[in-house]
This record gives sequence, structure tokens and C-alpha cells, in this order.
Amino acid sequence: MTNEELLKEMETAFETQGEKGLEAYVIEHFAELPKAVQGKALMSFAQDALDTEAGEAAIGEIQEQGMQALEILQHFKNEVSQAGATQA
Amino acid sequence: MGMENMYRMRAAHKEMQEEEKTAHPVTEEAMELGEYDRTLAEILGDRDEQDKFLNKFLWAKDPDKAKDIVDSLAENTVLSPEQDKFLEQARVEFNLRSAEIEQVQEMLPAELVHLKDIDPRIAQVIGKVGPDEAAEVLGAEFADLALSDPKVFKKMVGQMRHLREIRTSKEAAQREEDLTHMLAEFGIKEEDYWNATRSSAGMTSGVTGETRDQLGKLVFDNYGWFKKTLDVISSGHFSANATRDLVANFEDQQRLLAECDKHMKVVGKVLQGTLTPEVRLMFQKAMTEGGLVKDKKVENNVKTIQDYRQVKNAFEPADMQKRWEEYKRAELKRRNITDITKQPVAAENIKNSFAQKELDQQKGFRAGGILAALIALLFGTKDDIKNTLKF
Repeated sequence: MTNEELLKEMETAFETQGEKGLEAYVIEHFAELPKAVQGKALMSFAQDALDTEAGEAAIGEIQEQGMQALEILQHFKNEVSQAGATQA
Repeated sequence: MGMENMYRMRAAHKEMQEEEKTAHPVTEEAMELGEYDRTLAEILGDRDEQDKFLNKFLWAKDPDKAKDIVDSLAENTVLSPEQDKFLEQARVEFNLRSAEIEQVQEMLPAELVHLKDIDPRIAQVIGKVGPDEAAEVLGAEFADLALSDPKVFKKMVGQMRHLREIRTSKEAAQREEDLTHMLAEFGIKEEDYWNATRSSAGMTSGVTGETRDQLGKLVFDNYGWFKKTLDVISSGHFSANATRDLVANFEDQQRLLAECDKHMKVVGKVLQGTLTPEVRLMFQKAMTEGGLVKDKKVENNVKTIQDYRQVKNAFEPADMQKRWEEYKRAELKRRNITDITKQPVAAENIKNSFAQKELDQQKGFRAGGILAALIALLFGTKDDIKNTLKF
């Protein structure tokens, strides 16, 4: 298939089925695409995967920090309660 | 401080900077330039490297200066001291970037094995062409990105670096189990808080754009308070050793307990939010756009079929040929060339500058995701453009 033919088919997939259709076409015909086009497609998938993972990592970081904060606050509360009890 | 010490410090600082400059982009370990420690003559003596250095790296750095330098080199005219300085600085950066590219490329096979579990499309592509070819394709794209769009390259490498550290930490499932347990143990039940926006808007079935905006604002505010609470805690304000001095009487005790409860509620809300799917997504956005990952995503301007049609119209091959004819005429006049067939170097240079100008224009149209592949096929490569140019 020539580049012109490929472009036409990709445009049709995009026009009729939107991005999902284009994506399915690109994956299905990946081996036939020019290297530069393969690179752009795979890079976009890799970027998405890295973004997804970075988002999950960010959540993990909030959770770790939050749990540590709760532990510190709970420990402090226990100490404060104890100190009050000793004084009473 | 004596002068000798100052000089010693300055030398040490310089050494540190040098080390920092040659750190592996992902692992941050010391990195040798090795075969990439090249002189300008060595770079320019290799056709492929010359193309990367002059036509990609220099152009991305400063297109105007690059054009003047490329012209001077092609015409064998002497470079100005300022151009010399720019070129030398670019040479050092280019060598470093080339070494970085190689290091990142070496990591890609393993990185792809990991990423295919996150994104099934990557697994499908690997299924089509095999892991080695997939890594090679991605490696070539990374190399191109590193030279022509260093900002995006640095962002992705930064993510890889950060994720490398994170991947070795506690598994997400285990952490969330611990978190659920802790929230229950501390009696923190903030689920209703996150539903409040939806309920107050009288919308109980699904999240609309309006409620999403309100929820988003709430997430952003809560994240801000959460950060402030962490700052207070890390300042030592809640150090257990200080309690005896702080608790002088019953009122102090009650005040401190109330303060703790207030902070626990702030933290609890955020933690509970990270366990609530819609809210979790918004926290990711708040974190990636305003916290952990500093770079904002570059806004794409080709998103719809209509956008694509506009781009296609703007880059009709016939229109490009018209631009080429005008450019060619102007360049031949500017260079005072009457017979271009006798000056193949100048001919190549003119074609190259024009193709680069077209590429620069194309860069104004940014498509994300799979549309980037469609745009790439529409635009073609620099060589594709050059192949259509005739004198």
C-alpha cells in the first residue's frame, strides 16, 4: 500500500469512527506504516502510559504522606491526652 | 573566607556542576560521554550527525542563528566570534544529549515490557512487530524528540526517572488496604463529603460538567489545605516531646485536641478522596498540573475532524510548491546565483532551509495521541518534502 493509500484509509477511519477507529486501524496495520508514523503512534501510547502511571504514582504519594500525617497527629493526640491526665 | 578557600569552593562547585551535567537522564548515576565526546570537526565530518546537529538540534535551539551558521558553513565564510561561541556551546550540549539518547534507548526494551501492562495498545503493537522492533521504533522517535523538542523529551525522561523510584515502593493494592484500615481505625468517614457537591446540585445520577467543575474546585482546595497541613506537621509543631510544655491546663489540652481533629479531618478528606474513583482522577490532575509533575501538557490544536481538514487544506501539495517557487526565486536572488546547477552545495542548502521552514510551520499544528500519527503521515518527513523540490 502506498503512503497516499494509507493516508486515505486512515482519514476514512477517522472520519467515520473517530479517534478510536483511527487508533484501531493504526494498530491493525502497524507493520505497514512508515517508520515515522509508527514512531508517532507508539510514542503517543507510551506518553499516555507514562502519564497514567505518573498519575497513579502521584496518588500513591498523597496516600503515603497522608497516612504518615495521620499517624503523627494520632500519636500527638495520645500524648496530649496523657499529659492532661498526668496533670489532672 | 580567604581567597584560596573561595577558589577551592568555586572549583568544587564547578566540578559538581560538571558531574550534574553528565548524569544519566533516568538513573542519575554518573555518565561518561565516551564516543560522544566529539569535536565540531568530528560531528560535521559525519553526514548523519551533521544533519542531526545542524538541521535538528541547532534549529530547535535557535532557528535564526542556526540558519545564519548553516549558510556561513555552506558558503565557507568565517563565523563571527558570537557564532563560534554559540556553536561551541551547542556542540557540548549536543554531545551530552546524544549520550543521553543512547542511555534512554538502552532502557526502552525493559520500559516497554512494563508499559505494555499499563496500556494494552502497547501490548498489541508489540504483538504486531515484536518487542525488538517496537523498542527500535520508539527509540528512533525518542532520539528525534530529544533533538527537536527537548522540552517534551525532558518531561518524559523526568517521568521515567520518577517512576523508577516509585516502582520499587509499596504496591498500590497493599497501600490502599492499609489506608482503608487506617481510616476505619481513626473513625474517619468522609465519603459523604465528596458526594455533597452532587447532592447539593440535586444531581444524584452521574456527574455532569457542572458538578465536575465544582468537584474539581473542591479537590483543588482540599489538596491545598492538605499541603498546608503537611507543612505544619513537618515544622515539628506536633512533636510529641513538646506536649508537657504545651499542656499547661485543661483548656490547652482541649484546644490542641481540637486542632489535631481539624487537621485529621483535612487529611482524612483527601485520603478518602483518593479512594473515590471520580475524585481520584481529579487529584491526579491537581497533582500533575500543580505539584509533582511541573510541566503542563502542551495544548494541542488539532483535535477534531474539522481541525484536521483545515490543516490538510493549509498544506495542500500544490500550495507548498507555490511557496517553494517564491522561496527559491528569493534565495537565488539573495545569493546572487545565476546557474544553480554549478552550485550543488547551495542548492542542497536552499532545499534544506525551505524544508525546515515548512517543518517549522507544521510544528504549529500539534496533535496529541493517535492524531499525531495521522498528521505525521499527512506531513511526511523532511526528506519527503525535499524530494518534491526541484530547481
